[in-house]
Amino acid sequence: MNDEQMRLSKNVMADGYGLIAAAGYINNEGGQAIADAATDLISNGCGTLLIDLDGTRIINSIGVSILLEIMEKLLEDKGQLAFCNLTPTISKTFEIMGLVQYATIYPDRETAQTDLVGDLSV
Amino acid sequence: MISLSELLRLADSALSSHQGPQFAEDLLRALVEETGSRAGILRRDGDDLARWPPSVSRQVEEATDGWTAVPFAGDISGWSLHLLKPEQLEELVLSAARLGLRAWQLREELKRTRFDERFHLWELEAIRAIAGSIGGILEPERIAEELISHLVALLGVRSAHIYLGDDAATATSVGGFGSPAIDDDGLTEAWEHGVYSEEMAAIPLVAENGTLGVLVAAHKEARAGTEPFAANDIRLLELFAVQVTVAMESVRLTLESLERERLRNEMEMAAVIQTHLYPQVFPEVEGYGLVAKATPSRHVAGDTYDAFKDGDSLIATITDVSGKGVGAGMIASGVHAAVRLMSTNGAGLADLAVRVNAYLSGATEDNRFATSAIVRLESDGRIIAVNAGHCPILIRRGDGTIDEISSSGFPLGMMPVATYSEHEDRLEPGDLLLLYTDGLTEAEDPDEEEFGVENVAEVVSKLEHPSAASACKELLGAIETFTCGKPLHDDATLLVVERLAE
Repeated sequence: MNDEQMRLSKNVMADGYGLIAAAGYINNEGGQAIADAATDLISNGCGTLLIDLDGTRIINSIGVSILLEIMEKLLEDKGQLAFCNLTPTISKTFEIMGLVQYATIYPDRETAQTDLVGDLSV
Repeated sequence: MISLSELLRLADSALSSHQGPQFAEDLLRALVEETGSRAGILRRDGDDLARWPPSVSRQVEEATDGWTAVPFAGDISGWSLHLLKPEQLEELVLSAARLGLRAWQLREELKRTRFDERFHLWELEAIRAIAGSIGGILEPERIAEELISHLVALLGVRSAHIYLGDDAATATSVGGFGSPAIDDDGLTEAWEHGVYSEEMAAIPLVAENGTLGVLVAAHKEARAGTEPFAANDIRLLELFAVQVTVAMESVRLTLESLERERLRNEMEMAAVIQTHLYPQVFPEVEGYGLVAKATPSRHVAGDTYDAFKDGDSLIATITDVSGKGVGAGMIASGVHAAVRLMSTNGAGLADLAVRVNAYLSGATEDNRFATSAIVRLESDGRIIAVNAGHCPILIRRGDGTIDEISSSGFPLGMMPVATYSEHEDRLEPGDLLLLYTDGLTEAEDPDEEEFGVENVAEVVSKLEHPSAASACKELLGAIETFTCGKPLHDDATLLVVERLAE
């Protein structure tokens, strides 16, 4: 359980659509890394962000508050936030903390991409 | 007036929905324009929220004269507005600004309150999830992992570990997250009464029978860096400590229960195996009839009996191993096998006893021994008996008199070297030979008086219709009456051989 160092990557996948893959403990440092990646993608014109949490098992309250801020910022800009590959525990946490009210939850990345921007492999 | 309209629009927007950090800058810009100021700064509790124009740095601020501070009161007293050389400060404009800031602050407080409410729900959900997920888990490591993942998430700590052991010196981590935050001395202190500091909380896991371990959490995160534990954090940690304790106690009790069940099953299996060592059907030997009854005080008995043919003769034997339970039962089984295997081809019983004694004296490490009575019965009524430290063998004659064959040597296994003498006698038709263990003679009445060999002899002597079956029935009935139905302290075994009428 000790190996929870955040591993993060970000990509502009299509016009206006950005992907962040975050695996590790989402605490203040991990959360800030995601926020920085989101800010960068938003400033590059991504109004829709998909955050893939495959490999993330634990998120603490500060991590949740940072994700809420990312969501607020996207909503202010009429953007859209989505998550995929959530563990049951994190999914329940997002439900309780109000993230699912304004963000869309997908079971996996492929389903999310198909729904958000169509099939990118075509 | 355009800026006043903008101020009122901003105030309205703050009232109707949550506004982000941009709100402070928008409001300040409208204020600067409406008051004809060169620049403006909006602060809350000493922290800058907005500067307009953004180029007005703190250095510029400090190097410039002509700043006017506009105080706020009431619920926004922590706020302050600084305007550079304002041309006009109309109360209407300031009121619009206050309205906007109050609305914004209320929205912020509402957001925090909602977050806190949801966080409490998160806490409850975590407690529920822990109770649900650890219910069927019997591995402390998996329970620890489940609990720690919830604890780390809720408390926002960088380190959490659960230590379990018989005491602080032997306690080891069964699960953890992050680098351990406590050393051996700290663990010892925590085991005794807990350790609470700004950086770390180590709470003993106290069950009904003592301390099971310690729950340690350290380095609570703030938005930037770490912060001291608050009272609510300690409360939450203590709640988790109770959860851990209950879960680990449950595991311990369940494992103990399973172990007891396993031992009980093994005891029952051993008893079944031992029962199968007894003759299932007595051998048919011309002129003799046999009846036996065995009552173990526990599942596995230290008593054993046997009856088998050796050529034309019948060997009847009874053995009582010192002690009770599985250990005694195993030795009894060994003696049972040894006697059966060694008493073949008319082997002398004294020699047989010597050999079994030698075998047994080297086979037990805890000075156990076995008393034994072995009788060879010939078809013409002649008998040869060896009594190795056992209760007297009783012979009931046809007229009701009782003869005894007393011990002629040490119990088997007591001494490394022992000798035994053989007693020769005869059974006439109608005579009964009784082999029994001291579980019968030591049966106690309510006054703790023992039944004794004398009563055995008396009951058998007074049989109205002497036979092996009636001797067995009357003797056990008399003991039942004597003890008032109280269970026997020791294994009790009775084997009766009857010389049948020709």
